[in-house]
Amino acid sequence: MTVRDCAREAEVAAAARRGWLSAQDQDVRQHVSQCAVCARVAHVCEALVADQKAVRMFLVDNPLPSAGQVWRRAALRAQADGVQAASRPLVWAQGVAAAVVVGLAIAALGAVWPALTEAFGRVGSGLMPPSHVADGALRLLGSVVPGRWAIVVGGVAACVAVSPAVVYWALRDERRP
Amino acid sequence: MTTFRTPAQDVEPLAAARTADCATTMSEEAFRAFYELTSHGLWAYLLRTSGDRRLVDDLLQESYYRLLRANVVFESDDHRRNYLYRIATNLVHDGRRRPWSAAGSRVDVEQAQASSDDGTVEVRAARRLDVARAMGHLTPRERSMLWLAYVRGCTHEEIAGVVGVKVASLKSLLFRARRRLAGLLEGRVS
Repeated sequence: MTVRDCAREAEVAAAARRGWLSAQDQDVRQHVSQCAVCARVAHVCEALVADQKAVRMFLVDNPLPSAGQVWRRAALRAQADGVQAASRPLVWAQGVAAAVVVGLAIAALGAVWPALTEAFGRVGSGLMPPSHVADGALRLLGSVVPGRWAIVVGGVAACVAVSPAVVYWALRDERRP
Repeated sequence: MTTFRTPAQDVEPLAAARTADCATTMSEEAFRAFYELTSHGLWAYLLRTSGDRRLVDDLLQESYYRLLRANVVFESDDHRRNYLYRIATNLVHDGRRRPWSAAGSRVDVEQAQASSDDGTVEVRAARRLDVARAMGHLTPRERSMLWLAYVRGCTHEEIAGVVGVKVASLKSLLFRARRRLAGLLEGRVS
């Protein structure tokens, strides 16, 4: 069975981080020489700490942005986010309004479509296959919902159909939090 | 409580909303002190856990930004620091689909070593290369756990909080990560 842990792991890691400097650490080192778990802890810890020192050495020649720079960038970003958050209801309202307009336009078109097809028919044009489809759809709707309600229901259905596209358009610039 | 202030603040039309939204629980002076204390360690952590030198500066900025915007009351600087590492860890893990790119970080560390006058430069640089390469074979969570445990010296509770695992599971996860890294460093695992 594999021994997974040792009660002195934390002590060993702390000593390895210090670089085995204190007299007490020598006692820990003695333990490491007899404990396989702690030997691995020490090995990994020494490698990672040495790596961190190398990374920090790199930062001596390649300094990080100052605290002031980070603060200012954060301030600008917060400002932009604040404006965006404040304008979000307006974007939503625009989206809903656009959906309603498109829906009503489609409903109105549906209402005048019979008159249009009649007019086209009188002119004698035979190139109106879409009208048959629209006529069929309206007739089907009319058979389910009587009278003018068919137009209202058609408008609402059009709104529902168009809404996802409009909402996508309204929110396409939204960033993930 | 204070707010961010910028020269452009007077120009914007939505000042009230912005002021409310920019509120932070940290003053600029406190932030400067905290940044000086934590930025180098966090940068090293981000470099080794993300593995992409080109991303680290952005991740660092984003981590501090999210910390400043966090609606959390911190009990101490340690609590604040752990929260910062938690943010950084989540940022790295969110981007884990990106391919590991040890090349950038390797070159950086190598350059840092080359600038030293130490006679064992080559040996040390080779060891750093090994660590960077070995870390590249671990999962982001394993990298985070190992770094937090052995470089930062966090307790198991702290690591569990940062990485988002149960304390009870951490011991075995850490054991496996340690075994994998040790094996990679010894060249036992390809």
